[in-house]
Amino acid sequence: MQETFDRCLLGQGAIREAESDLRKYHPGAITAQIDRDFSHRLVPAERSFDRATKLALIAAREALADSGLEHDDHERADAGVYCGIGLGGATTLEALYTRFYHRLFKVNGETGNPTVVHPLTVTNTMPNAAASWISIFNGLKGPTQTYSVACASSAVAVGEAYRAIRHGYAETAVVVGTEAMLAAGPYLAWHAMRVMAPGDSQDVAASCRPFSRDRRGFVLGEGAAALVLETAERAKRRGRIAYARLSGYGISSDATHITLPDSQGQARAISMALKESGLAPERIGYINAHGTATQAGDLSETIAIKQVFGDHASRLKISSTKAVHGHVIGAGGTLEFGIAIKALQQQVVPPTAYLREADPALDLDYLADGAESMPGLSAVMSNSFAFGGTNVSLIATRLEDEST
Amino acid sequence: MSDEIGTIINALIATHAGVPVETLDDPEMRLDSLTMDSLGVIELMFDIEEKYDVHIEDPMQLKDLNIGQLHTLVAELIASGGAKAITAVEPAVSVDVAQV
Repeated sequence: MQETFDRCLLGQGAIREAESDLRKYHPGAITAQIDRDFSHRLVPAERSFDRATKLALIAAREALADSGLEHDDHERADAGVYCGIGLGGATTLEALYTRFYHRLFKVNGETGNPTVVHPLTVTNTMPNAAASWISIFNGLKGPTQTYSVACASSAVAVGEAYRAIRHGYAETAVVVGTEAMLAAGPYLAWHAMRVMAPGDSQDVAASCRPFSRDRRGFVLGEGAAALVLETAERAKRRGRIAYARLSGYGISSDATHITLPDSQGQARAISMALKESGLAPERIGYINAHGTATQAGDLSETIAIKQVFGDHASRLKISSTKAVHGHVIGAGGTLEFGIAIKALQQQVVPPTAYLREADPALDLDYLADGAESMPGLSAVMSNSFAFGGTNVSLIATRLEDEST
Repeated sequence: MSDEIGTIINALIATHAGVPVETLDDPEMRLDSLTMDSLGVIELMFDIEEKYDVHIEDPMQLKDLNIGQLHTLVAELIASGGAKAITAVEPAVSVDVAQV
């Protein structure tokens, strides 16, 4: 997370030319892809899992190690795992159908050995595979939940874990967002929607330009990010210092269109999060925007922010780090909320990388000129708005400000 | 049975059982004495089928075998022509497929 945050601060993007297995179908394909092979970071038992599960396991391991969270045996029953993923088992399904059509399917009806598909296809395709393996490997026996809410999946997972903890159904939770759908099939499906940006002819890393006058859409990425939640009471009892307090969760649905954003629905989610946090809108200093760099999306979010924050909107620092890490769909919620929390912790906010000239219709401060130091920053927000019309807004506050 | 088959199969067992391949030298060692759960067994079987283009009818029989017997079983399957049972075909993606 720290490394990712540092790259966001520097505006060093991960978007590049796609691997040849995508470019052979779409020569101009660009993605924000993790190294093809990272098996050295896995134990042998994990190597036949779906790619999204592998990424989730690595992220959860890092988060747990960083948190130092330890459970007594009796506490394990109250330890949950909350996961968000857009397309469960994407690479496993790709392999399933590739094998089916290459090895089994024949037009004339003749077929072969039906067990040519991988025997772990079922357990690898289950969207809850990542949450389950994290639960199994760490002995976490509380609620194990998986949310598939498109681009808001892991933001919902954060919020629902928070509610479960607040309402006494869990005392701690590992929350992970993960996504790995840079296989030809899913990539081409996104491409067919015509919402992805073409590669920038000067600098491919600069292909996704949220809030820019010349924005062309998002760039599909992959990855995972995990957070560890714990009740304030338990943290205090254990003498542990958290990075931040999760203090507000708002969730709403547009009920209008399957893909078009609706600023009214977005504004409601933002307002709900603010109301729950008990903060005056002026307390929010930074928003990690959903900011996908689509024409409609960036405009809608800007309208929603202005509607809720009024005069304070122009003083807010807003950025979309998707310019750097791409659109990681189900992983976006935890990744971007994590980035917002790092900004809070380090009192410095990341820019919207590659933003040279803002769209005149978008008149807020999108941090075009690089990272900005914000001493005194005490509350941050992260927005995630999904296909399907689900809107989520999360707020984190600094613990240091609570003693006064 | 060639030694090569034994070597390859032992390497696959070692991978799925998570043990060093040197510990598998005894042909009398039973597969169920290794710490492989049922999913590990079917993954092992899948890898053997892939490698030799054979089809093992009953996965559960593997648990009752020792390593030497598994080598023999695979050698017999190969000799009985299992290898020709599956032939790779080009993906026949046609209108028929698209409408399935």
